[in-house]
Amino acid sequence: MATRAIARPSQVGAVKHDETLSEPRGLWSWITTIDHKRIGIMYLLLSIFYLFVGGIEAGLMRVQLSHPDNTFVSADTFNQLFTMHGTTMIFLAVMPMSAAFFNYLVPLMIGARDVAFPRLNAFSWWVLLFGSIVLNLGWFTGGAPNAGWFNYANLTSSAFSPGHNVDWWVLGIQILGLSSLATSFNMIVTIINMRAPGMGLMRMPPFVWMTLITAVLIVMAFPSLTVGTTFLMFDRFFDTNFFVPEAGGSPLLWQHLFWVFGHPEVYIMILPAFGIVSEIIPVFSRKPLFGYSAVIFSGIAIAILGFGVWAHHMFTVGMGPVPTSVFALTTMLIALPTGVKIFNWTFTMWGGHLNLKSPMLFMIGFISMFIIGGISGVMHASPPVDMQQQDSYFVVAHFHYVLFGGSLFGLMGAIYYWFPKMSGRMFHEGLAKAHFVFMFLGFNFVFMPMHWLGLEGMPRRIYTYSEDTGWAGWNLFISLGLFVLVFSFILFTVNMLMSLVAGEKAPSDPWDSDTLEWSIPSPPPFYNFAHIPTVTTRVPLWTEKYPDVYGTGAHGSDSEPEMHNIYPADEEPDASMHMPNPSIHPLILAFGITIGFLGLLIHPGVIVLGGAIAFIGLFGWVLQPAVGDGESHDEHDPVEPVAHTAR
Amino acid sequence: MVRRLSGRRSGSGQRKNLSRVLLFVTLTMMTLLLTACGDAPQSTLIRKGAAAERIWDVYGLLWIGTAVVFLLVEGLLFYTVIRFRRAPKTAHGRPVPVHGNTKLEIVWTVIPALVLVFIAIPTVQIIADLSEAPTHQGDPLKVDVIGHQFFFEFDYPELGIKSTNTMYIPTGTVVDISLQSNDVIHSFWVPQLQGKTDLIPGRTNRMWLEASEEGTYHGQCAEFCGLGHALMRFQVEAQSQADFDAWVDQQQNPSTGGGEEGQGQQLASSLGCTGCHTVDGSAGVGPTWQGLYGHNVTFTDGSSATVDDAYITESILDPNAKVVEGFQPLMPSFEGRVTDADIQAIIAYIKSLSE
Repeated sequence: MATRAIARPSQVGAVKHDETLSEPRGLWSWITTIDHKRIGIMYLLLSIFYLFVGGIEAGLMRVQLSHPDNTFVSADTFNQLFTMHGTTMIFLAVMPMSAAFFNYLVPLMIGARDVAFPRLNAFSWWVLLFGSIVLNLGWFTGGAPNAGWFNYANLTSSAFSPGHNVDWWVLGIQILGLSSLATSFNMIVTIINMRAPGMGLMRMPPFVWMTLITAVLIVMAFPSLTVGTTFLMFDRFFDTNFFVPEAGGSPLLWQHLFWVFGHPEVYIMILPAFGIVSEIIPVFSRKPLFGYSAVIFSGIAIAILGFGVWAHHMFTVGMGPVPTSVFALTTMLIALPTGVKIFNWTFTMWGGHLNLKSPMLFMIGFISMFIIGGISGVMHASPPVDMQQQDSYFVVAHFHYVLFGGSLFGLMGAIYYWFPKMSGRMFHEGLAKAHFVFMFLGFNFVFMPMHWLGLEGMPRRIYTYSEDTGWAGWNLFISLGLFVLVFSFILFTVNMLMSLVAGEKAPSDPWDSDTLEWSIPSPPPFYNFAHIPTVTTRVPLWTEKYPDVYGTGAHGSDSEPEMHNIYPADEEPDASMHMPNPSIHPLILAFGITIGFLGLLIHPGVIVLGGAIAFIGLFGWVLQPAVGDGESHDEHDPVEPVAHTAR
Repeated sequence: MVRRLSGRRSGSGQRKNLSRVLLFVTLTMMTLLLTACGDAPQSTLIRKGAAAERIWDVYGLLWIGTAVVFLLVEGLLFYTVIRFRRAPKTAHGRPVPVHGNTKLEIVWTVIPALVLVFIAIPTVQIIADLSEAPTHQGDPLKVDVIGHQFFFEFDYPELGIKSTNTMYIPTGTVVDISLQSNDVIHSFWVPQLQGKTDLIPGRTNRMWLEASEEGTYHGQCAEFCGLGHALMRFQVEAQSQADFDAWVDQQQNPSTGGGEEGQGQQLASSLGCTGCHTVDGSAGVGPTWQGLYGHNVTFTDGSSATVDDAYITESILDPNAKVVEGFQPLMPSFEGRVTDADIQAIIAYIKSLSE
């Protein structure tokens, strides 16, 4: 196996990374990788791919809706498009893109060499890949899911959706749930157990905090979805009647099960972006995060309250005045911790020295757009207002301001901010700024008028409308506005590809950042840290670079020794780093599970086959030593420092 | 040890322009919002009845409240960005590292909480008001709305009549509506009169509305219900009490001249045919029946045929075998639900619409 020398001069004076070490290369090394950074990059690439797939689906819908009575696509195709657009963007674009940063950043930010369960991490990615393929198989086999991303019962029952469309959704989502749960358990254990010495919980970077909260939310929310989809699977495949009213089942049961998952899901998608904003704004304001504790605890409050508001998606189902009022009040309450965050970010900038580079622009874009989404959210927290806005384009506008103006602006800014670290190259700043400007304009051209359409009574999920509705003008405007948005993503793609090939070499710390990942070379060596760092403040790298401003003494804590070096100068590199072995077994297990699920549609024998493959994967997984032994050491695991030059 | 990036000040003009562009866009969008109150027939901003007015009591309040909050918070954000994009440096080269301020945290928790209290109180009051049909204006008119894929059926249980896709009501009278579904979940929404309420199979929901002015109010199914969801539109025809009474009388004593043709008309209504097929030439989910018989139609596969007895029979029993161009394959089969005599009666009725 070919090896690559990765010696790079250190950028930060006190940090020594001069070891000439090598990591495996080639396609096979990526297929068997258990390196959290490679898995993070694989998550990122897959999520960008599906972001474009979801974008194309949206584009086709916008062509159809650009004119009244248009016949560009049929009603059935349109229904498949909006179902898959929502499902793709949520489960295959935003969540995996967040997971990309969880994977890539969490070990680096907490000073660890990998996640707690590296092979489980690889398993998560392969399950995501296979699940995403299952979800999309319908396009090639006669019809993709077509009952909406929330698949309201009893429209999804065999009687009203006789084709296989909904089956693909049920199976795909069950497979994807495994991936999310595995990643979440991994992140929780990693964050709780693997922090560097000195990094107490209240010294963790806010992004790590938000990752932890998101992971807990996933662990608590996804079981409800799993129960719902399992009931639905039984209804469809084995003729049970959980959601069939004629047989005593309840379509509303689905709505409760779905939204007990579905509302926390909103926070699962936005909290990672909250974490990103809380990292990037301080760096580009050259000031620590204002109200660190308030930001963390408001995140926790949002997560807890998020489980008490699900029925605000059901204000029109006739719950009666008391439950309706209760859920209205809990929903309004959730605006408070969200507002706290917005004010803390603004006051982080206040008195700062703003460096308006592209990542920062995306953060400002994030806050300004998220405010709009938050405010419109408070409007339909009031049930009488919701009765006019629910299931109209006003709601479509609202959640796009939260999930596109919010999550995606945050994630795009994160891509720019961490691109130098991940790739070792700088991107083109001018193109990045142009991307921001066109994305900001295009986003508002597309989604702002959807508010007006909603106010004018245009319902969601209609494949056509007639001239007499008065909706034609804004619909055409929106469809044209999409070109601006598409253009911005072309700029993004061009910038990324150009920079990967010909970008300037990135220093280890291009933004003057405060967190540990910027103390090691760009891209980081596969073992991350030659020494496990020691942390004494919330801003370890600033303490290192500006001891007078961010020294431990500045916090008034006398009990802490005055120590500014995260890598004490006299320490040798760790003699033995226990790096995990590459493994093919996670892929085999994930593949077996997927084949097993597909057996439900094909033949019971295939379920047995899938189980057998999964068993082989599991068996190999259990028997394979987790950490490199002597034999594999030479080939895969050359972690012993070959050279060490004091600087 | 301290490493600095050079060239921080370059492009400050560009930055200034950028913030101006952002401000301009935001303000333009705000202006558009204020001018967006069009006269769309399904506009939620136009109120033509007591229920819609009651909703507006909190809806209107929220527009004002959210506009103020929007301007203050966005204003603070952009002011901060513009003001501190070039702040003077301190002696050590870094801005003062402020870590937080407990008083401020309390202020921006308590003030929004107070704002929410002002929204919550009318919200709860209005939820209560909307949950029961008011009786102070005399006895309400009872209407049962039944949702079908893909049309609405309106039954008047006290009057013994029904209509499809047009709900006739007298102005100034509270209409006490019960909502049920025959198949999947639908949602009944006439924005100018009242917010939406779902029709859920296996349940009966209630809502009420009242129209203060005569006129035709447009409504549409608001819960995705399958292929024909987009086409599931309906009207509320609000008339004076006298006109309404005349309509009721006409429905109770239909003047149609009996025979096969009249029987066909009854069937077309009771089976729900006219939910999708209009008889006056206007657009519907399916082709209109006016002038259909004997007419040449083109199908989605490009072939064509003349509408005759055989074609209509086939369309009733196997509706998606031939779908007229421009329409969707939505119609359920009526095989087993109609007799041969029923089909003959319906054909006679359709024939009469081409004479």
